[in-house]
Amino acid sequence: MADTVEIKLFATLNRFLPANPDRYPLSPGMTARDLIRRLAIPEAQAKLVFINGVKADPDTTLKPGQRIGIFPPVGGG
Amino acid sequence: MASMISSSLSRDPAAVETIRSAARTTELPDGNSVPTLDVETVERVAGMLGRPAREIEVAALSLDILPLRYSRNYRSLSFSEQIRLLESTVAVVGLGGLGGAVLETLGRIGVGAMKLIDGDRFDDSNLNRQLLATTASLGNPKAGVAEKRLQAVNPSLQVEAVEAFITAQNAEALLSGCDIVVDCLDAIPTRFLLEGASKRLGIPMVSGAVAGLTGHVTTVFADGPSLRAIYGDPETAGDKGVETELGNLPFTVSVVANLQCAEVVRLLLSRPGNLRNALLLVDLESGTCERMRLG
Repeated sequence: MADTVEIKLFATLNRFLPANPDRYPLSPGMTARDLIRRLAIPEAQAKLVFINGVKADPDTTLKPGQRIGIFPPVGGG
Repeated sequence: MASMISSSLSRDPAAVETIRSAARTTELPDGNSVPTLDVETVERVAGMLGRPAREIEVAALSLDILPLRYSRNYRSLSFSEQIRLLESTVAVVGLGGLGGAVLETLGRIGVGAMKLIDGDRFDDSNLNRQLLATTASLGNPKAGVAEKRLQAVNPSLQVEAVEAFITAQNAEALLSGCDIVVDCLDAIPTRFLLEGASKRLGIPMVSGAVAGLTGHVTTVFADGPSLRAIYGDPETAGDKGVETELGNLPFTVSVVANLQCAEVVRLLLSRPGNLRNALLLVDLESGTCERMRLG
């Protein structure tokens, strides 16, 4: 079975959610930034990246089983 | 806390006697009976003693007499915690969706002094989510309407309405003396401006933001991470987030505003679990609320 991650995309980014967000296949050495590009999310919109609930640098290499959350800028009051 | 108003009245034997003799025993829902003061009696005693109602309530609580307006805070809040809230000063900056709900909740729980800051006026687009926006208040200054609302809900509070937008020139003077700043603004550059002033003054800032079905809350401390952890470099962060596309739904606004209030109370009472270095993310689309670490 291929190594996978779980993806959650918030707010406007939800439209970029792949068909298999709970078991999204990882390719070797893939970073969060690679994932953002592969999902065609505009990079400026991917403001916050969380890996297993902790803010992460987009250049962090992803590991199997991780939960990846990507959040756009939210500023309304 | 900013002031200690409890001391003088509860050490004045005549005042103590006046308050004690005005108290009436009331049975609480848990079956216990406690001495209480109703709203009208608080006002009457304040008039008799020539002191603000807030001081009467603080003195009563220090004598183990429960003002009935706070009786359903008890025992989630102890008497000494209720006193602490009554002696606190909180600035609410931005009196729109978040701010209108924040001041309502903080006023009802009994945060004793509030500074309400906004230079805006109500318009039609506010009506879907801003508690203080009514057909009658359209065109009126948000600060003035907010002050009137708090006077109607809890006239014991000390409320200062400031009809001005927060600027680099006025921020520190306006926030000085406050225990907590609540960021209910709707523009990212102004949030950074408010953060700068709060950090320089050493005042924790509870920041909330919403867009569509999502929102988040964090607290910025003088010695902790900045809003940069959320929005990136202020120079490139832009003016607004995705709320320009998604709008702002009323239930998201209420939820996030009240998560801010829970955080304000947690901080004022020095309870554990505050949002230092943490972002509480609410996503009402998936029905989840997650606490994320910012570093």
